[in-house]
Amino acid sequence: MSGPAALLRLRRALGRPVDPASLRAFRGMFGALLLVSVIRFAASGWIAAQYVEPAYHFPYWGFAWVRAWPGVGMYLHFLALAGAALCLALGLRPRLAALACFALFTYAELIDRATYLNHYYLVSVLLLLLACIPIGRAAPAWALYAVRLQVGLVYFFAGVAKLRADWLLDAQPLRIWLAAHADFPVLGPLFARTEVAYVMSWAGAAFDLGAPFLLLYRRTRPFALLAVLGFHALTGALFPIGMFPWIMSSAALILLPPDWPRRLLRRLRPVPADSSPAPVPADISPVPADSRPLSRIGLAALALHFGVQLALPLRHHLYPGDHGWTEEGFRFAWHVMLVEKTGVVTYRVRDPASGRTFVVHPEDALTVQQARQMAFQPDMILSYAHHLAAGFAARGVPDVEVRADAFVAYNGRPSARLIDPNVDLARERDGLAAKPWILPPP
Amino acid sequence: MPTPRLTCPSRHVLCALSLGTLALAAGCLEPAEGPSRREVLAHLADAVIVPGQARLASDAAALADRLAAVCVAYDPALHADVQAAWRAVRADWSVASAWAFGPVATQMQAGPLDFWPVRVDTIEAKIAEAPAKIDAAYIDALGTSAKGMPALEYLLFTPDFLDAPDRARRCPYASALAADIARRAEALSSAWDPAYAAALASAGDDGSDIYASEQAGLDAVVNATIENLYRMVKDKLDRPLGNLTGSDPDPEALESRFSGTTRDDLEANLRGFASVYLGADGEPGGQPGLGALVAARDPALDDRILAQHGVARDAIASVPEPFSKAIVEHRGDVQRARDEIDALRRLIKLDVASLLGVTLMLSDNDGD
Repeated sequence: MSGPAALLRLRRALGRPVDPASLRAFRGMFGALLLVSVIRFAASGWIAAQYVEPAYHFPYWGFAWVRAWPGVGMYLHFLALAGAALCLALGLRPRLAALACFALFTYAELIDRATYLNHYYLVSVLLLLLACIPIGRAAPAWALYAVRLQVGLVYFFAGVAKLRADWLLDAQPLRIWLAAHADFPVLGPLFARTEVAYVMSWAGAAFDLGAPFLLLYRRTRPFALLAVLGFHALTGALFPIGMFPWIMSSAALILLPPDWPRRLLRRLRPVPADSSPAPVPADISPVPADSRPLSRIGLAALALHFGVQLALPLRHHLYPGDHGWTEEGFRFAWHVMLVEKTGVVTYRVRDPASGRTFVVHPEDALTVQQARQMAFQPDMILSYAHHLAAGFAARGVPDVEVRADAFVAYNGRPSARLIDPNVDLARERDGLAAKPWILPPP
Repeated sequence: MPTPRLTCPSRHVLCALSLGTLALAAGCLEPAEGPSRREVLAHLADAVIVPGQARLASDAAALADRLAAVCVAYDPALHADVQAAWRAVRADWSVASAWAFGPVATQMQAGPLDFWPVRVDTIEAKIAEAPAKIDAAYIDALGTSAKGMPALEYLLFTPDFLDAPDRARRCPYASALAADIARRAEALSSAWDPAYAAALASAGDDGSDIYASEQAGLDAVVNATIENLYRMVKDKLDRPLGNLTGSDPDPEALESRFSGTTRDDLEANLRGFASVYLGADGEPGGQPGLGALVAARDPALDDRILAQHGVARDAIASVPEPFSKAIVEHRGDVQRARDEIDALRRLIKLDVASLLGVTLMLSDNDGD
């Protein structure tokens, strides 16, 4: 078959209509979970704590223009996000609602690197997909496949990321985390055992690698679904991961057959044996037979999206050293629950003109969350060094040298210096290039 | 013959059997080596914190009584006596800084008890405008800069405290401050014994609304230890050394500068650390302090901590007295003490917290 003919066949296959029930259910659940997340976020005081109170935010490289709104702006921002999430949950102008959610949610997440979480990134990506997906009486197959592939990639790359010595050979960081839960009901004494940490590490890696495939395969599906729900319930009970288990549990349902919501409804509301069949509502009518091939632009966009989604989790191979230590290529890569790190940073700021040296404890000017996150992330340590230099310049002390005494404990290793203490960070540029001033791990 | 299908009830049975087996396995496992977190928390609550708070309350009450008597007799011979009583209270408080969590935070007592550097002008102004009869309500209404141990120190360690022309105003003011300190110290002690100590010792038990888990109790202990060391480094040494402002050392920024007990305070802070880490007697030897948990999991780390503690203690002791003079003339010695305490802080904040899963494995705000 010629290239163009194969492409046309692929486009036709991707344009084939499928039952939209699972996509609708996913969209509704996702909107509802987003709404709950926003309400929970606001009720916990995190809008103020993360966006209003900090005097400084750690911008992403290239996104310094994304700033927190002044005054009540951030509250209005989250109010608008809640409204859009409600629309998404109810299916009111769902693509527009998803687009609004994507823009508002992603903007908030881009304000400060200290707030980065893998599942926040997942929320952004899924919202982007939902904004692009047409779901009517039927949905094109590519829509279902795209969401499935996206969710599958999260599990798969989370599993690939676990294929490393720390996880498999040292059972770290699970060994530390589980031991901290020795008083967990019933299972607690097991968690204190090293061998249990090993079992759970290996099982966790196997689970992540296999879950999407086992959910797709009919014969293993019931067990895989039970394992997925059990796994997320257990991690949710053990670790402070908020909405993550709920989001992943609901997202995993997209890997079930597309008519699962219809089947579930039939089970929950069985038709009495002696009654005549109820009329099928219009919104769940059978899939129409007509189909249009996916457009070339659509195919290109899908290829671009998933090309990026494949490249981002692998980009850490372009950097030297252990990315768990250097954090280079660590974000946006589904490196989930891989590291237990704690850091301490103190800056030494020297004014060459006067020879005076200032010691700066960043905890004084940052929130607890910011200080804790920046202390082990070299790019954030660099950002704050630049911020300090700018602050001194603004106070009439230009061209200061900024050096960091940064120490980190990483996955049970003895603490060690993270940053070359002799490097003037004020002269180092931020960017995507490798940072030669990050010292090797112990 | 068709393969029998696994029906739903069978799955339920399997699940129940699996859970039962797990529970049985959990129940049959030998406990891990070393004391349990429960034993450590109970020891710290009952053998370290409660006695330490009781000592503070008792010494503060004695100080208040002695000062009240002095302000009647104005006997200069008793001046040294009340100064010694103040030093005792200060030492108790400095030791207790190692476990500054729980009631001291919920009652917000740190400010009213320990505001420094002393604002002399504020204290003098308040003395000048104080009523003839100073009662607890008056002191209670004062801002934190006009009361507490440092303010009282300023008054007691003024050489002519009992001979000053306005002693009739100064002494009752000082006496009222001492009474306020005693009242607050008693409030802390009463809060710890029995309620807070019981809560810490039984962290994780059903119905515990203070520490939902043993880990939460351990978190409180370790974080207070880290905070104690951080305050020593930053507030008590970096600031007077001039490190924070890039300027010359400033003896006026020293803790307890009027009594000349800056070094004593630092040493007491480290004794507090030792009692939390090593147990009630502050010596290595098997008491279930925090270090017992560390030693059971990582003996090498425990050795490093003990060694660093010794180095930090020696570095403080090697700073010549008076500290206010040493900070100018022997700045390197003071800086070395600061650096060694900081190294100890790093070991606790990084290695111990990580080893014990204290540092918030994941972010407060929903990790993943």
